[in-house]
Amino acid sequence: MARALNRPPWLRAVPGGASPAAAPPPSDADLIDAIQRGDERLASALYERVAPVVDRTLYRVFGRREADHEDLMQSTFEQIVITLARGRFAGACSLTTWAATVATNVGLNALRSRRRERRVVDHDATIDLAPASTQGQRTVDARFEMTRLRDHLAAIDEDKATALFLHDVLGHELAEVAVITGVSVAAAQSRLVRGRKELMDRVARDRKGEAR
Amino acid sequence: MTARPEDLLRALGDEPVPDEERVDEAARRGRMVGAIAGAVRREAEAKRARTRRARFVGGLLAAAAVLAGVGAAWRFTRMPAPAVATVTSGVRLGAVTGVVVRVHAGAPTAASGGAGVDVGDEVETRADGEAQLVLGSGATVQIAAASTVRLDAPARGERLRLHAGQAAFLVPVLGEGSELRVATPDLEIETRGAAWTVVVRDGAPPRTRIHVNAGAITVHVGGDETIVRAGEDWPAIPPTPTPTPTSTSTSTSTPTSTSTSTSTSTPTAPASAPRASTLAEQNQLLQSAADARRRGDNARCLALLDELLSRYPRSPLGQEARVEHFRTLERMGRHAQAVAEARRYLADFPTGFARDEAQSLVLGTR
Repeated sequence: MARALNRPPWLRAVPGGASPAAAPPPSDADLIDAIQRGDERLASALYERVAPVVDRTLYRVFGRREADHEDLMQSTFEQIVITLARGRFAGACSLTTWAATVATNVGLNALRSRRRERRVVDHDATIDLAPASTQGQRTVDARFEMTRLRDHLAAIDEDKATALFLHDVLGHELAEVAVITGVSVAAAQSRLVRGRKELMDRVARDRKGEAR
Repeated sequence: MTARPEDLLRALGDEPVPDEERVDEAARRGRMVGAIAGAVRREAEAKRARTRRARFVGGLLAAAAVLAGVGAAWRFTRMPAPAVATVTSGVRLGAVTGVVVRVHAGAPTAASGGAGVDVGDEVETRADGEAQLVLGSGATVQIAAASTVRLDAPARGERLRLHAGQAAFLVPVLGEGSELRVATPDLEIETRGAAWTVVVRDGAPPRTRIHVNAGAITVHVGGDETIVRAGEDWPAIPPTPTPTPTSTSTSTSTPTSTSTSTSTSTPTAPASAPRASTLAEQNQLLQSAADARRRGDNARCLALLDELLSRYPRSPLGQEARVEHFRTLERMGRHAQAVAEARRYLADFPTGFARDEAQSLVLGTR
């Protein structure tokens, strides 16, 4: 007992105290800096920051979570890491906004790839275009329209498709689209207008039953 | 479908995104964070490798600059020397192995390392002998077995004559007015800085075969001049095709910039003849594949590339063929195979010229 009394007092950490929520999340600059330094410890923070937007964007490109949804997410993350590590992200917009663009490109490329494969494998397939007669049929038709729209989107030029998707689907302003895609506002607008026209032509030809 | 496209697109954006199952999300999170950490690690390693390469190249450039400076200083100090101080006075034998004979004024004597060699002398190596000749300019000549080299009187610079056998030359960059000329029974070689091997064989002309490892030489035959650069052979395509045992052994026998000892150890087997022969064939296959691609005949293009890669797995054109291979697969709509091929390409050529293209294909960002 006497020995215990002579021992100097010890300090040790105990649970409680300040809330973990008090620690501020790393900023975009912190995340970019960590990746450029090769610091893997912020991998989790990067995931937390951009995973929701990547997930949502890929969902919007395909209209559902496909079987390879996770593979596409992983491709998007790898692309993000490579671009950040090589210092090719200009930092003109937030990390999440830019991540949505990367996910858009990855998604549209995958859609194009599938479209090409379908052409090779299933070029004789026909689709029943019977007019809608019931509520259920209308729902099916609407879904079908959306699927065809995605298909047309994948068929048009990559730059125009990206501009259309960022502006009309994800709701970015024209100036934002210009910054994200690294072009002037005029060029972004031109892509948007020409992309819409091309999409409209394709939709119109589709209505007339012309081949895709 | 009567709505405007932008309205339809907005409808895409308005579609509700259902939440994922919490269990799925948690599992995915673990995998994704692992994948991100892996990508960060790979990029960091690649960055370090790039830095090391840059340092290495920088070091080489610095060394070259130092050598150039030393050379310039050496030349500067030599400038006042009288013109009559011929370079031949500085010629001597370096390392000697086996039986080597020096013929001076018609009298043969056993030669040893360090012995001087005068104009008109001949150095003969016997079947088991090899010798190094160090010239006044700093050039070295590795004389292989069963070879005869004579030191001629030059009009300017230095001049040697290779009567028979094989020798490897390493000539530093010579200053203005200096040159090294090497005569063989059917041609004369001139250089002001290069590394090359030359073989003189018995039989009908052309008896001389040359392979240049670094720099460039000028070959004088009759009244014609031909410049042969690093990696090239003379004659470019041998007139008499030599049978090739296997393509692999042929391509691996290609002399490199440090091939002095290698080439001198096989004096009777000139590497250039079969090498040029198969290379021409490889070129032909690649060219035919390119022609097929231009015609839009992807299947033929792929077949030719397959043939090239299977027949010549270590071909110097391999990288180009591999890139064209995955491009062709992609053009044919065989995306999965193209991706797999691009992955293999990245594994074999991590810093290849088509790295970005292959990465884009693998990541699906093309």
